[in-house]
Amino acid sequence: MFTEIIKGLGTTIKHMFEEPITIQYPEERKPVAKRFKGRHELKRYDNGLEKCIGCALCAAACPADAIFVQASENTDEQRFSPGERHASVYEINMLRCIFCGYCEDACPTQAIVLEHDYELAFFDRQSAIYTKKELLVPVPDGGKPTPQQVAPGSFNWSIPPMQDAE
Amino acid sequence: MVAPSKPITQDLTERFPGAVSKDTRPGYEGYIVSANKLTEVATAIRDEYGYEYLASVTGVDYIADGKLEVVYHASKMSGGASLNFKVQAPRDGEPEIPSLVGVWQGADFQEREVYDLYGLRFSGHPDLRRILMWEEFEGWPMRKDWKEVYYEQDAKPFKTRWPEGSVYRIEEKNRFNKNVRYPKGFDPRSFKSDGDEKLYALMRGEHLPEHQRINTDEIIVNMGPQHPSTHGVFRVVVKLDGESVVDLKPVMGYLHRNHEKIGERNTWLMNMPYTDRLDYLSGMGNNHGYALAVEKLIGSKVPERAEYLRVLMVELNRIANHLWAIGFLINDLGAFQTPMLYLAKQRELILDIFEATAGSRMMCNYMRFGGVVRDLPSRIRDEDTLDFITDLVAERLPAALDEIETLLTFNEIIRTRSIGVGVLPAKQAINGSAAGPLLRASGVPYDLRRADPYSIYDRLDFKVCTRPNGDVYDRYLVRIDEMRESIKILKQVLRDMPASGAIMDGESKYTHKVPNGESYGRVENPKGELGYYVVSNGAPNPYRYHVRAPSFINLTMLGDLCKGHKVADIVVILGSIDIVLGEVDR
Ligand code: SF4
Ligand code: SF4
Repeated sequence: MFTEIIKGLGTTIKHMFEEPITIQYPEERKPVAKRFKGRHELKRYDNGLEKCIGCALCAAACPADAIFVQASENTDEQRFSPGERHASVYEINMLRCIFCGYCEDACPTQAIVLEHDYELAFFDRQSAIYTKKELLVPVPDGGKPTPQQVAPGSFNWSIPPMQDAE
Repeated sequence: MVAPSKPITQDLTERFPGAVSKDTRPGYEGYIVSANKLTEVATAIRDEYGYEYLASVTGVDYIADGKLEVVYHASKMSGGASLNFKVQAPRDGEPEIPSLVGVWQGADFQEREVYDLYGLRFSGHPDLRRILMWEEFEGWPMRKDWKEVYYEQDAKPFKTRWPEGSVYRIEEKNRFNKNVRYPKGFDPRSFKSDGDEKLYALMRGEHLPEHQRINTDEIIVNMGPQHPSTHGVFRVVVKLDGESVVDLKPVMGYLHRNHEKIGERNTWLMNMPYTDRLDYLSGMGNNHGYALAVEKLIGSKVPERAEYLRVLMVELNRIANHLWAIGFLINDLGAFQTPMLYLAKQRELILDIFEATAGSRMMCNYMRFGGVVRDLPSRIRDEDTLDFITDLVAERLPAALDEIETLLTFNEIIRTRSIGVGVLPAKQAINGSAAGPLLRASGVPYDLRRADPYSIYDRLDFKVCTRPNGDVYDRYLVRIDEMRESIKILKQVLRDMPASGAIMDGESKYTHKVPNGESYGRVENPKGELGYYVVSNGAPNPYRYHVRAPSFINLTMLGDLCKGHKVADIVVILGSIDIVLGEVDR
């Protein structure tokens, strides 16, 4: 019995001198892995156009029915995204989402990406529905906000050539 | 169980002419047994043919044929494929087939589940009550004509979401706070459940003659569902004589979400992330079992590197799970939190590997039909990936295991509290369909990785760990041994894994053409045999999707294990079975 106590205390003391693995959240934050599947973002091209073309493939792929997409026509005076259509309404219900990543896999333009924000807490259920306002990333430097007025015929393609992310 | 004097080669159909026929539907296998001969045939399967172990019992509703079918899978302890036999009953009226609890104790909870979800009665079952739903529930939820309250469509993707402009938000139709509906004439305030009363009456022995009933100094106590040591919302009703347990019945279903019905609405692939949430401590293993079941139907060939990646992840997951199980067992023994956190420290590193590779720490959704979704990343936590994993496997984990062993294995308190507690004899373990460490700690060397090898386990060198006594202590030791074996496997995987190569059989796809038929895929999960029984009718979603959940079935024997012990031991015995409520309740 006595030896056990000594042994146990020995382990405790050993652990006392180890570097702690706990961190003082939320003052300190552990960086997440590059592939981490956190809150979604809707991406833009460098010129500020939205990547999302409103095809709703993500909504079809979503096992939890978390995504709601409504598409509208683009015109060259009011252009949101390349191609014919853009998502005029895009919502994800974060209470339904299971962060599986299928929407990201399904998207033909890599518009929706699961990014690194994992602190999702809400005061009521309505605010758990993220709309385009929260999801869309800010306009990059040098880009213009949407809708843009563009020269006719300059963005007829909706799925530009792309590289795969790591 | 009489061992056959000479191996029986006679086909079941010849042994029971007229009562057994081959299942000839395309894509199906096994036998169809007529209900009135079921007990006799099952006894012969167990005693003469040597299939001592009833792995899985489940129902299927063939609504077009007007039939309910019960599917049994029995295995031999010496290994090999499982034998599948079925019984059919008309789905109208009050269908009834004989219960097999007399042949296999392991049928107990599973038959109750079939009764609960399909409304098929099992005559002769000693305690046929609902198990996942509550007693007053109306309808049989897994039947094809049963619709949930906000039923939209039989299969996803629902038209309300995709595409063609018919979209509306489901949140608008079912406003928050208003999305509860009651049947006509039902008033939730005046409702009183008599299910519990029935159970208490049963425990008091009110069906027995006067002199056998509860004697006056025995009391009935509820432990749970809100109890810190039942590992979740799990409840046991205990009959106590002073401090000693006279009788015990588990009550579950508090976390029931009808996983299988959801699974039948989903497309094949959409189920993958849902399987993570069954036994959420071993998501990789859950993925693997489901992938195997569907791959059997599709007939995909998993590339070499993907097989190694799968085994790498699954074995890491096994270690993570066992670390957690042992940590919690010690917690249940009264050593609050500290030793558990020492173990959790190592587990974190394993979860780091999952996070870097699959993007999530627990709900990994890593496997796909025909492979895995992503290759290893180049770096984990600013270290080269292979260095990180090798260091973990070769240095850190063995050191951590040594530390646990010096600290715990010969610890006097642990030994006094666990040796001889909750003994499960080998014979009962087999008959009661115990699985995983629970079975092996009773001295039965049955491990699916050896008994019916899948993936690349036939190439790997490891030993099936057993211990002879079947008590809590032995279950603890088996888990330690298994972790050491997993480390051995991991070393071989790291040595033999092809450095590069395809990780998917063909393109990764969304919709899968799954040929008609049935399939039972099973893996040795950390908690035992995890099986998926799936039936396809060619549609984009499964016709039947059933999970043989080891945590659930292992609880069949909880009552017997606890009898005669003290109240405090219930917690320890439960901890040594190692359940996860996400899987028990599904
Ligand atoms: S991560 Fe999965 S559940 Fe969440 S929105 Fe995307 S597809 Fe749906
Ligand atoms: S996010 Fe991608 S998949 Fe979804 S609607 Fe936009 S373009 Fe289509």
